[in-house]
Amino acid sequence: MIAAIQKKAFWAWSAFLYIFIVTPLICVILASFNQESVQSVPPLQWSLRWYGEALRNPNFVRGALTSLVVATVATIIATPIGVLGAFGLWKSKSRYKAALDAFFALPIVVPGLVTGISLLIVLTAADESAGNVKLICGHVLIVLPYVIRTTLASLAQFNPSLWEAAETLGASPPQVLWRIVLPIIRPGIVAGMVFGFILSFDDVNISLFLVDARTITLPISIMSYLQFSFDPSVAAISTILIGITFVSTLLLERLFGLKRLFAGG
Amino acid sequence: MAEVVLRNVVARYEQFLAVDNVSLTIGSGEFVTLLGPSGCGKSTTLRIIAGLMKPTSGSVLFAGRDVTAANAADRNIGMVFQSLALFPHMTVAENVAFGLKMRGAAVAAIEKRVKRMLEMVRLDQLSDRYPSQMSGGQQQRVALARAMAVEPSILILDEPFGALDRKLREAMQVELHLLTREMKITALFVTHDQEEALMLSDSIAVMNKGRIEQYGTPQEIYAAPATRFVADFMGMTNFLQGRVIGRNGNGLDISIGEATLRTPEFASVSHGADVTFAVRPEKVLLTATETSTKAAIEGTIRQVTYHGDASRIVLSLKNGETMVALETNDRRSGDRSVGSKVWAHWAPEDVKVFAQ
Repeated sequence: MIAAIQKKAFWAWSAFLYIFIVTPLICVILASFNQESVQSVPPLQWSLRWYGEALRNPNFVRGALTSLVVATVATIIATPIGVLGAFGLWKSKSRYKAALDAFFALPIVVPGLVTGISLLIVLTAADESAGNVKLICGHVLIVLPYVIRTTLASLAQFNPSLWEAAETLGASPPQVLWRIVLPIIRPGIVAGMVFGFILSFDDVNISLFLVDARTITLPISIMSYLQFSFDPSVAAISTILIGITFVSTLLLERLFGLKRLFAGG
Repeated sequence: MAEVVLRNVVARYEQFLAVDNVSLTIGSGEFVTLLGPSGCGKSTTLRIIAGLMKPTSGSVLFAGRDVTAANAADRNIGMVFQSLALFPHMTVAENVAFGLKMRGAAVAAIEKRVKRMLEMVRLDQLSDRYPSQMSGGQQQRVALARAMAVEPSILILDEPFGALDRKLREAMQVELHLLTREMKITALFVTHDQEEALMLSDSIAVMNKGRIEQYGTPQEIYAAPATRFVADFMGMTNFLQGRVIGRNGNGLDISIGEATLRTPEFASVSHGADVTFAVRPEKVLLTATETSTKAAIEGTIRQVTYHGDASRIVLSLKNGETMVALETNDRRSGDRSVGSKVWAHWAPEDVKVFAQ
């Protein structure tokens, strides 16, 4: 009896949470299909008009390209640094290990505004024409802690006997890392990369201080667009982003979820 | 295959002395088992031989060469881990090939060797499977094939059958016995299971508190345990406290409570000494009346448990100590109900006496 009530309560609570999370997304998606330039949910008249508007807006298109390039480059730079850092922490016997561990999580903890301002101060010395470089430096800081965290989490699950087995079979430590550890923890690294990539693509706080007139990211161009107009083209571009994120998560789950089954943990 | 020698090996973790001055020789082609309870230092000794741990002092020699400072990777060993430690992202064939690959062997030679090893453990049909797709026994055989593929100087096995169920474990023991004898492999086996040790080994080193209590053939260890600890560990579990009260031409007279028992001579004990008297439960015979021919001791039955082929009977002796008899069920005579009085006796040669 009590168990049944608990079960029902659990389902009700889960359903509530899902509704809470999903409702805004659904509203945005619905709003993007308006005919008129009002954000009405549900639309009075359906159309794809604002998708056309959004894709014709040169600021959105350029912003999307910039964001894509910045997030990609930042992920490519941050991943090897993060993975090597995690390896180092994992193998370290230093008594400052826990402190270092927390230190590497700082970019998550420190407010983005503060990081942005500090980077602005540090990087003013950089050449004005190197706007992208400043932006990428900032975004490496966004991606890095996630890669380190997920890699460390995977390493904590790693069976130390596998390392010893490889060693007894004649493998040197770099060979063990490359041939045994890396392939086994790959799903964790990829998860960190995806997480970092999405957060970098999404970032406003840090980017705000590092962009210049010629290099503007998508979230910032959406923000500045909203200052002057509130039409459904913003909803349309948001819907496109939701779609891309959803499909890529699904793909990753398919690819690496299955892979993990094979690996058996 | 090579002779492996440990010389005065000591291993210390902070204050804890894990291995206390162990010296041991494993002859070429010999199967040696380190046997002991958990925490006796057998696993630490094994890790020192494998090169996974450096001893605090002492040395390790492979075929006369001092390898104490060498890493595991440079010792040419094959090791089967308790957790098996198969590489989950590699197929069976890739697992077996790994050691050869690390040694830079030619691709064709690796292929040939892997095929031979997998035939040896009868897994050649499953070479493209992943470990997670195999049964426990199959995984065990992959681990064995992987360790033996590199033609190791010594094959080291760390309680490899602990996780298997009884039937599979027995099958794997028979298989390992056959393989190691056929190929004349030098092997070091670690276990806490004395039956497994007796069955597999040429020699057994019984370890306790970081020391080797006795090193000998399975027959010696079983029939002539050198210390009380070894006797206990090998199933000689009846211990009675007594005192040597006399010596006659070919034996000792020992008083236990009110009874006086005659045993064969044990040179290590002297007149008047307090001793521990040991006998296996399965060697204890029970009769309803005192026999005049043998020394016997009287007791009251406290508990009877049925074990299929035998029954385990717990006696209370007059001096308050307990004695256990394991009696074959089809040769029973007389009453074995709780509370009845019986006489326990045994052949003089089935007894061991240890000085205290």
